[in-house]
Order: sequence, then structure tokens, then C-alpha cells
Amino acid sequence: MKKTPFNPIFLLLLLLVFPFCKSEKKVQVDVVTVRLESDPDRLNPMLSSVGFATDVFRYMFYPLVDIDPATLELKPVLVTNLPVKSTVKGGENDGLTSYEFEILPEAKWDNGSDITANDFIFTLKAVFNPAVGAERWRALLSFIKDVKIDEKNSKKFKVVTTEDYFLSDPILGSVNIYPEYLYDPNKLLRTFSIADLVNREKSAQLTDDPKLKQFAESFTDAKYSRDPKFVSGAGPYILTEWQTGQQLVLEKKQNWWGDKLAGKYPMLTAYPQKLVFRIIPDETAMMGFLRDGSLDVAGSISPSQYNNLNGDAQITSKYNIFTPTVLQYYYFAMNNKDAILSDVKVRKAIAHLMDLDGAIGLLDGLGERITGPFHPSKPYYNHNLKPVPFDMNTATTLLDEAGWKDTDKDGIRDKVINGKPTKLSVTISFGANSDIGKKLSLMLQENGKKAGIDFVLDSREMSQVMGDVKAGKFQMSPLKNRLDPLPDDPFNSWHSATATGGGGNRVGYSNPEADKIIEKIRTEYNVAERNKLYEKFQEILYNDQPVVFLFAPKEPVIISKKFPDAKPTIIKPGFTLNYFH
Amino acid sequence: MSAFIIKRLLWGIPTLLVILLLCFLLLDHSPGKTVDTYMSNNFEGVKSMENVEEYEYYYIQSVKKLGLDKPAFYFTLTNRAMLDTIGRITFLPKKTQAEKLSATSGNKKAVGEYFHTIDYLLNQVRRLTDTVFVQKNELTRELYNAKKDADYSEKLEQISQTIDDKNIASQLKNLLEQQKYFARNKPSASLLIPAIKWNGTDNRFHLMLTRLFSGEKNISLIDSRPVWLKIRESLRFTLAINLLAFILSVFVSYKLAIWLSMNAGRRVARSVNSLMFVLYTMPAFWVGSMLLMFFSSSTYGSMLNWFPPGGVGDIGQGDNFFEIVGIRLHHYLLPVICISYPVIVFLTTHLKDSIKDASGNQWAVTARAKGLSEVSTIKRHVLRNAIFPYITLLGNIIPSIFAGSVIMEVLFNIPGMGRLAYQSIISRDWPVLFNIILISGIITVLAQILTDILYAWLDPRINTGK
Repeated sequence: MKKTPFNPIFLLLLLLVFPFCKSEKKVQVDVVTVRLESDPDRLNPMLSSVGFATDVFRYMFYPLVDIDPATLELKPVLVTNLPVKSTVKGGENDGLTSYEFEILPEAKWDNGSDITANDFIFTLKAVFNPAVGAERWRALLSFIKDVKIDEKNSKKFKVVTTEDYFLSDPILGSVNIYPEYLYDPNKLLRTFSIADLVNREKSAQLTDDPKLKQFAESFTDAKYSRDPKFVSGAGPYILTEWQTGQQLVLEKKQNWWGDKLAGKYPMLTAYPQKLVFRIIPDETAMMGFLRDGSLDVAGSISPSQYNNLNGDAQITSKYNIFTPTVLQYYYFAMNNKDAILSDVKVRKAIAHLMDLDGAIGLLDGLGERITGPFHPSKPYYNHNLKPVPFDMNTATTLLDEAGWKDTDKDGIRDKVINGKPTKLSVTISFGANSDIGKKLSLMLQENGKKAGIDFVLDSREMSQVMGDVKAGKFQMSPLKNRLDPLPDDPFNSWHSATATGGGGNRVGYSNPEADKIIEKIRTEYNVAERNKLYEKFQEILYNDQPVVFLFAPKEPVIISKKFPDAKPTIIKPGFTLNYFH
Repeated sequence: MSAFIIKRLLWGIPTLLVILLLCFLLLDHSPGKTVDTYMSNNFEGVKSMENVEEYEYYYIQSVKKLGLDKPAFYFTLTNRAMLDTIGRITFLPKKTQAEKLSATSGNKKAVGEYFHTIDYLLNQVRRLTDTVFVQKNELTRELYNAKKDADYSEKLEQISQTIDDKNIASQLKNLLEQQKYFARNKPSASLLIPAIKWNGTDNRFHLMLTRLFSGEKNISLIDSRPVWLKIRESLRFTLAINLLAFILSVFVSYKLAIWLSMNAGRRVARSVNSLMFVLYTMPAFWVGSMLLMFFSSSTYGSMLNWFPPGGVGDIGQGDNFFEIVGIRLHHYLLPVICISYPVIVFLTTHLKDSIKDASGNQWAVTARAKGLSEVSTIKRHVLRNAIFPYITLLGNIIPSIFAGSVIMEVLFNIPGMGRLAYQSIISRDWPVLFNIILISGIITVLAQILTDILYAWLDPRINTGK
């Protein structure tokens, strides 16, 4: 007798499985389901260090002012107006700059109590508590000297700062306010003054204070980062569920105070009743969820996956695919202190060797050419400057003018520098995992051969490449730079003062005229005047060509057709869910 | 027998310690300076970092936060020329500089004096009045550079000639002399003499070990949650899937091998053999994506849309046990198939071959000659002898099933241990990572011990006493 190798148990298993096979899902318009690449670390804005957390808590915690993702302008969120800048007269802070904020009279916490200046001060105290791991915020807000509450109005306060800086108000306003009643029920921080905590010497003496330590321990505890009962801010949504690795659910607060004000203050708009963040790290897995229709929004899609999306009828019938540019740009860094690359003609010649239309082709059309270090969507981007064209003749002429000739007829130009015969050989260091960096380097090597430049490719682990670039031990490297939605401050990247000792000016660019303009930008509060300075600065950089500016990448965002009015934004992650309806 | 088990379990402890040590050393020496990465992630573009003093302050804070202010191990191997206090320097660029100067000069004393001069100068410069603000800033910046890079500084030379303060000017000249001294010097012989520095228990490895076995302090660096809670959350999915895959593999391969040996030579058996060969050559992750494409979307007709596209399913509040099992099984079936089919093929082929070898033996021939049917011959006589290689393989496939499930967890979006391990490597959450390493180490060691026990139990010839 022959027996089958399979037992009836398997049939039973299959029977168990089939009743749960899928039925068509009901369309729920007031629920938005979003893909999140990874779990947030904490839903605690001061302590979180992962971008995925920001993508979630931005709907729960609100700051005083924020950048409008549609217009990139600073707009009030929890305050009546943008802050008013003034100079302090008299007293110990005489001559210092202060910013006055007034919190909306309607603004309330979940327990019905008013959001007041006290909550702002509490938040600052939490940040400046030396035992709390909020170093980034401490460094960012280190220009705060004191906060004075208005005697007549507990919602009005002035922040006194130690420096006159054009970005002080958006930085101050970006602090996400915490409710003191929830995060410090025992009022441990009331004992300390904000002026003492922001003072480096005084706070150093307080490091071992038991109350500060007790607060820090409780504030850092996991419950204030993920327990729905203990995580709440001034925003319209509240955490109701978090299954690690699976999903997070935010629900709209009932009778949220901001609903009545949304007409006057558009930043307070919040349509969806429920936001579901599904954790899907893998792009292939994400495709399955999209085809299935169980996702409404997905961002951070790679160029290769973008092609798959476009060709998939199941996806294009359900979703709109957008390609907004992101706040980033790619550039070819050149070491301006290098013996060969310090010559502006050589740098310009290299810029002419970039066949960038081909390079954008490498990105499947997902890039926009740029001419300077600012994003093309910024109002002060200098559109009069034209991208350096791919032009072999100009490149060779420039190299000839710079004195580089092929005297030994080996196909590579040479020149005598400081008495030493030198070949025109430039090493390009790039990250082994960077696909774009590799393609750009290969393209430059190919074009270099025709122009008589020997580009040597050196691919290594990215952190090693970055280490060398920071230490100034490199010649060329294809890199990417993140930008901010705030107005740009070019000091860190382009001022000569940061060109040494591991400063942000890694390419070692130095131009006294540019330095002066950069310094002026930092204290110019008149937007029109400042924009003129920005344009002039871009012109100088364009003429010096300290690096080759390449392109701002576009990052596909896909949004369900259930939300016909939803638009992508250039601010990460490419969409703002509270406007979806 | 129990003595044997105890002995094997005891041997597991040093094995696990060595595994942990190796992983620790590998992680510690992985490229990419952690502090630099941390600094650029957290402080990039922060305005106050333009101030060199602020930068050093936050750098040291970051070093302490990452726990890198402590030495790596119980002892450090170095050379006689090295500055004695090198282990206590937390500002790593300064440490690199101190190492470089010690190595080029072999003169500890001079190195110590060099840094002393810089610190003295920085203190003096801080006291300067604001009338020379620009010069003060420039001087501070240059002095910090001198801490990180000893090469002779022309800028310091210029400043030393123009500065009004006589004390500072003379100390600057002193510093420039020291820089010239280091530039001139040749490496000394003391570089070649090794020295061992004892660090005591205040080191990173010891800290890792003690935290690993302490309940309260064993929390994740990323979200402060207890490590065991995080692992338990993800382990249940990994265990469930792997256990199902293991049971399925053993059950199917056992039955299939016997069936194949009994029907050897028949066309149907030959077809099954070829099918297994084809399956074995197909990579599991590819089969996984194909299954997902065909059976979890309507791409190839809604008739085939049987399974969810991934995840582990949402359990509702009022769901009863059978509903929960149903939802989970519905989500687990595809990943379980993908994990187990290569294992089934592998095990079946081996068991089939060893049955074939064993059935040629004289006792098998005798059994058949006695008139026993082929089924009884194989089941009662051949199998007992053919099973040993199979059991060895079972012990070995348990760890490999776990390794194979990592990629399936990614593909099928299952929040299991593989994903947790990957994330903790990326975010350098070492308390979680070392616990995972420990657990997979324990699983491997236990699987090996289990194999030995099974072996001994099935084959009385194996002596466990020695």
C-alpha cells in the first residue's frame, strides 16, 4: 500500500487559513495610512535623534512658529503673531536683543488648562537641565540669556538673547512646547531659574543636583516617549496605539481648540480623524502594500523603484505620483588648498567637463540643475546664473591658459609647480555604496581622458571618505549637502574662518569679499536687502567655482487618489498629513 | 548522562564569552569614528559650533554619552614612548595628536609640556579684555588647531609678533619652539618596547558584560526601554515562524525521504527529485518575492489574491484564540514556506542518500530475506542506522534557519529579531545587540547539545561518560 507523504493536518491548516483570506477593504476617507521606514526612537522631541520620530510627533507637538511647507515662509503656530524683536534698555541685560511672543488665548492643553509662558519656560528648563540628554537643543539655543514673563499677561513673554542674529526668532520659535502639568507633575524644575540653567558655569555646579537628576530620569523614561497616557503636546493629534515594528496610530483630539482658529491661522488646519503609520522598512514589501491598496501615502522612494511604480497599472490607477525636489543638493567638492585645484581656471575647466544632463539621466530624470549652494525653490536663488554647460573646447582652452600642456605626449597634461614637474592627475574619493557618486566619478574620468586630465578613482567606505574630507586630506569628492527650510546662513560652509581645524568649510574656500557679505547676511533683518546680498554671494561663488554645483534631487512621493487636493512639499518627508481631506 | 549534559552546558559558558568578546572587538574596530558620526548627526549646522571652545565642550559631552571615555578592555597594549595619561584624554583629536607626537619624538615629557603650554595659553587668552576681540578669537582658534595638529603654524608666529601682552608673546614663542622640536625629531627606540597598561574593571567590555546580566540597567540606548522587553516583542514572531518552519521541514523531509526511497526508480519519484533540484537552485528571497507578487496582490487576477502583503496582522480587542491563530497563520504561511523549502530539500536529499547507503547492508538484505516488507525493512531496520547524519544536520540547521529568517523578515515585513538586530547595528544600540548575540549564541549551543543528547539516546554505542 502506498501512503501519501502528507498528512491531513496540512489540509486542516489550509482550511484554517482560507476563511481569513482578504475581502475588499472599506474606503475610509478620514483615515490616512502612511508608510514609515522604521519605528521612531522616541516620541519626545527633545530627546529623539531619528528623523522618523519627527515625521510622527510633528502632528502631536506644536512649536511657537514654523515654516509653512507650501510657501517656505515663517508663520505663527501657537502664537498670535511672529515674534517682535527689540533691544533691552536698562538693567543687567542692557543692549541685548530680545524677542516677544504671545501665545494664542484659545490655546489649551488636554486637561483644559491654558498653554502659558510658564510651559515655554518649563520646556527650556528641561532642555538646559544638564542631566537631560538634549545636547543638540542646548547647543542650538545656547544664545538664550533669560526669559521674562509679562506681568499682566501670563501668555506673553520676552526671550533675551546674547547675540544679534537673523535666524534667532525661527530657532527660538521651533521649540516644541511640553505641558508642565504632565511632564513635571511634582514641579521639580520650579526650584531653578532659567537664567541659572542657561549659564554654563552655574549649570555645571548643578550637575549633581538630586532634583535635576530625578527629573531627567523620569523625563528620559520610556513612558514619556511611547506611553499614550504620558505623551502629549499642543498639537491636534494624540497617540493611541504603538505596536513596535508594526504600526503607530494617532487620533484627532475631540474638540481640539485649534479647529475654530484654522480659518485665521492656516497652520492649525487638521482634517483627518486618524493617522496610521505602518512600519515598512523594505521597498519591495512597500510595493505589495501599495498594490493591495492598504497604504495611502509613501515617501522616500528610490529612483529605481520610481520606474517600477510608473509602469504598474495597479498603482497608477489608485495613486498620484509626484516628484518634488527635496532640500538637498549634490556637488563635487574640490580642495581649494590643493596645489592643482587652487587654480580657479582648473576648477572651471573641471566644471565644464561635467556632462550633467547625462548625470541627471542617471537619476532617471529625478534631479534639477543648480548653480549655487541654495535650493532653487528659495526666493533668493539667483536665476540669472546659468548652469555651467558641458563644453570640451572651453575646458581645454582654460587648461591651456592655466599653463597645463601635454609636453611629454603621454595624453596627460603637465606643468612645473614650485620647480617640480607635476602631472595633471586628480584623485576622486567616493563612498563605495554611493551609486550616484560612483556614476558621476566614472563620467568625469571618461571626459577627463579626452581633456588630458587623469582622474584617479578611489572608492572606500563613506565614513572614511568623510573623515579625509573633514581633515582636508582629499582632492575631489562627490558629496551631498542637506539644506534647511529656514533662510540659509552660508557662514558655516563658506566663510574663511571655518576653513581650518575641522570647520564646516571643508573645501577650504576663502574670499575676503564673500566673507564680508556672509557676515552682513547674518545681521540683515530686511528681507529684500538680505536677498540682494544672497544673490551677490551666489555670483561670487559662481565666479570662483570652489566646488561644482550639480543638482537638487527629486524624491518621488505617492499619494492615494482618495485625497485629490493633497500636494507634496519640499520639506521632508514630502507631505503634510494634516491638510489631507 | 546528566554529567554529560552538565559538562556540555558548562562548556557553553566560555564559548558564549568568547563569542561576545569577538563581537565586541569587531564592533569596536568597525570603521567610521562613532563620535564624528554622532557629532555630525547632532550638531551639523548648529551655529554655536563655530566657537572652538563650544565644539570641544560638546565633543567631550558626546564622548561621555557614547561611553567612549573609558578604555575598551581590561588592559591596553601600547609602547614605552606613549604619554602615560593618554587614556584620560577624551577629546579624541587631541588624543590622536598626543599619540602622533609621542610616536615621532619618543619624548613623553616634551609631549606633556606641549599640551601644558597650550592650556596655559588658552587660559591667559580667555582673560584678555574684549578690546582685541578679533585677535583673541583668532588666537583661540589657532591654539585649538595646535592641539589637533602640531605642524608649525605661521599664523601663530604672526600673532606672537603683534600681540601686546608680553607674557602671552613669550609663551607663544615657547610653543613655537616646541613645534619646531617635534618637526625635527626622529622616532626613538622606546617606541619598539611594548608596555601593558592595566585598566581595571572600569572598561567598556566589563560594563557591557555587567549590564547584560543586570536587570534594571539593561535598557536600550535608543528608547530607554528594557532590552528584554524589546527582544521578547520581536522574538515571539521569530520563534513562531522558525518553529513552524522547523517542524514543517523535519516532518516533510522525514516523510518524503522514506517515500522517495520506497519508490526509488519510479517515474513519479524521479520527477519529485528533479523538482527538488530545481527548487534548491532557486534563491529563497526570489521565490519569496514571486509568491508575494502572485498570491498577495491582484496583479495576476484577483482570484489569486489570497494572502496579505506582509506584516503579522492586526489582532482585534475581542478576537478569540482561534481567530488570533488564524490571523497569525494566514500571515506566517508564505514566510514559513520560503524558510523551510530549501531546508526540506536539503534534509530530504541527505536522509534519502543515507537510507540508500544503509539498505545495501547485509542486515537489510537479511531482513528482506526473512520476508519483511520493504516498508518494515526501512522503518524498523534501515532508518535507525540511517538517521544519525540526519540528526547532526538537524542541530546545524537550527542556527541557519534563524539566519535565513532575517531576509524573510525584511521581505515579509515581520518585526522579528533579525530586523531588531539590523536596526541596533545601524543605530549602535549595543545593549540590544549584545543581548541578541547572546541569545543566538545560546540557541546555537543548545542546538548542538540537543544533537549530542539525541545521538547518545538513539545510539547506545556512544559513550557519554568520557
